[in-house]
Amino acid sequence: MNERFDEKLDGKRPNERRSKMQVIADILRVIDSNASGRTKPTHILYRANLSHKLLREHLNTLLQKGFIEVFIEKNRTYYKITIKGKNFLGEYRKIEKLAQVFGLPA
Amino acid sequence: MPIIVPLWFYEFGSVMYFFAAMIGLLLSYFSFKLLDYTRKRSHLFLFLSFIFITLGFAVQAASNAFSIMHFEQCNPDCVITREQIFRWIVRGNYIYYATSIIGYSLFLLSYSMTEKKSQRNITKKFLAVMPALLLPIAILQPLPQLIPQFDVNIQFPFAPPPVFVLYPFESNFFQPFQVISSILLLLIVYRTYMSNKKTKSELSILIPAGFAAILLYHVLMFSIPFSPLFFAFAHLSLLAGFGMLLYMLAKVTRK
Repeated sequence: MNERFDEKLDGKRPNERRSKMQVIADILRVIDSNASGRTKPTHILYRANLSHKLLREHLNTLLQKGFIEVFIEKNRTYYKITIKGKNFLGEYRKIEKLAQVFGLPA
Repeated sequence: MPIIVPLWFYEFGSVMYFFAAMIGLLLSYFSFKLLDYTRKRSHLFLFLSFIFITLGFAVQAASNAFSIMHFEQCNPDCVITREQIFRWIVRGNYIYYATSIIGYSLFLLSYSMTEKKSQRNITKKFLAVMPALLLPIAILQPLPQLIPQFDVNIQFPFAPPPVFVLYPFESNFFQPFQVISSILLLLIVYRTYMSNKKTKSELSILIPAGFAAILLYHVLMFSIPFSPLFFAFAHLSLLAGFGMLLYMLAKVTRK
């Protein structure tokens, strides 16, 4: 598992409600953390701790915004993070760190 | 009674206020980005607090600089009154007092959003009472000074041509403002220190440290009647405080 992703989950209480932005960042983190550069939706589902319905909604949003791209290989769907998505995630990490430093969670 | 301080104090003060305003502007920008991502009320208060603090220091820097330019253009060929010199500084001071108290209060409010409702209500009541302490002073002006002030005429070996001007401390708002700001900042330091104890982040200790230095600035400004030297130390403390916040920001936002 990616170190950054581990850090993110460690600092969170299990019953804490995530904001929409946090969920989106978590999805992007999962996709970005995969060494092969592509991730299966089921993998995102359990790593980002989401329901199937919510995952569909958020993946559609991310696809529309151009943060991820989808491709099919041997009848299997994979997701890949785009440059725009990586930039967004980089900015989000800075902002998240700033909120953490101030002690005001993002 | 006013205090006599060298003219370079104003130039020195203006530069320090300008730096504080610039760093405040950067903090406002990044807290706006935080707000833009999260849309949380606590982050809205954080952003607004930096906006008000920045505005206060920007007004101080501008009014001081404007007054110095006005004085230096006129000096020594014309006769100008103290009121003429300080017209803009005094106006700037009033704006600074108001914006700073609002800014510090909003900063505390942003932290109260993370507290339980009962604790949050106590913070809100406290924040409503603190600025209200200035109201009787506004209504009952002129009041006797809280502590005796005296004329001080000191020579600094490193000071440029010894042009001495009067510092407008006769405002009844000056000392109560420093006291109220100090109390608010003391709470900010405590709240951010407690937050640092939870997060245990090396960078987050810079927040209470930075605000502690700004608190020291207000304490030293309050102490100016005892020695004008405190003016210089106060502004160095202000610079150190904002410097720590800038260092934190640079570390957080680096790639």
